[in-house]
Amino acid sequence: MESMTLKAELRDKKGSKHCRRMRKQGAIPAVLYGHKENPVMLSVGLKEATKLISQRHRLVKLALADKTEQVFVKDVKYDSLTESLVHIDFTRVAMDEMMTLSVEIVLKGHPKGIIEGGVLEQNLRNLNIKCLPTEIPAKIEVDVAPLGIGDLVRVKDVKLPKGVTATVDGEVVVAGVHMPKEEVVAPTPAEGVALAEPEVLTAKKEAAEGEEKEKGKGAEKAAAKPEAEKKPAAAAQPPKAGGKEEKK
Amino acid sequence: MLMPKRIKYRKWQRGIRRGNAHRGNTIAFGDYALMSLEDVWLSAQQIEAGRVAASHAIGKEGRFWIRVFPHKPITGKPAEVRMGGGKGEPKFYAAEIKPGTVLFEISGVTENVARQIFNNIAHKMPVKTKMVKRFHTV
Repeated sequence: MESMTLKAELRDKKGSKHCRRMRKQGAIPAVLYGHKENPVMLSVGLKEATKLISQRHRLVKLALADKTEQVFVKDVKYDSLTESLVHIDFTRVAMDEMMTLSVEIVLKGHPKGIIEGGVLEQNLRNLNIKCLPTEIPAKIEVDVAPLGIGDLVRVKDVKLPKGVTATVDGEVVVAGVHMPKEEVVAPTPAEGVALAEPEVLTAKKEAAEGEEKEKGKGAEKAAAKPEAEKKPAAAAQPPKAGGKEEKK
Repeated sequence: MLMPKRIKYRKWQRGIRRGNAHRGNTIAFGDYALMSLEDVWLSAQQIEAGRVAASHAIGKEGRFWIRVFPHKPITGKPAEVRMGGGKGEPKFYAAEIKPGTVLFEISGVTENVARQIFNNIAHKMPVKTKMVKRFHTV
């Protein structure tokens, strides 16, 4: 893959306030680090950077004020609502050093299993690979046209470009065709009928504690009852006896 | 309808829905997604309405995912009841939605079909939404 040139400027101000102002002016913050050198804070044009990322360029010639440096796009952050670029991470690269990176997997062809009523499912969307910086592929194409129902494509079946090796287990499934699962629909309650309430975890404890307390109280009462029963009986005997005696 | 199997407390405090979604804001399973642009308590009934609208349109063609779950119990007092007397009883369960939350995802259909399906779902949603599609990232 050819490397593209990107103009960058050094920036001395950092923090969210300055970055926000920079983004309003059409530039985005970036950082360059790696190879045991000090990290450098940069700013790059939003339009140029967006074009670079959308064209799947990973190796970039970064044109700074005094020099041009070969760098690798390590990470990109997007705003989830506007889908615009927010920040870019660049790393320094040595052209003779192997590097690990993640590359997009693109499925090619129309599987024959779909014609038979199957559904194509892509399980792996990015593949972790190891290669030299000069041999980084833009994407990895996987032919799924011969897949019938129940067939799978695994990592070991993927044809990788020359000089590129996968770092994940060969048995990992990339894509497959299977019959669509029938949707299990939960029964909807009839109108006016209250929904079954979920189990309340804390209520259980309270109930258990309450039961224990009641049991405790019951045991105390049970223990106290015979004494109480005995006591009145014992207490009642003398007067009874006395009574009898009195009666006598 | 979706509902939690077990909960810690029957009644929750209302909480705050300030700011944008910082999680559940990217496409995880499918190729296309419906994203909320506003904040709302999305009830289990509204999620179910979205699911039904989608299942009518998709059929057996593609796959469909619901990315939100109604964890939060919402309480309310019955009609014509004076104030006071404590917090009301749980009425329904809702998912807390913030701007940027992905609500539903689809795969295995073309972009036009996905747009049509999400248009049907959007009519059932109490918030403004937009369709987003998976794009290449580094």
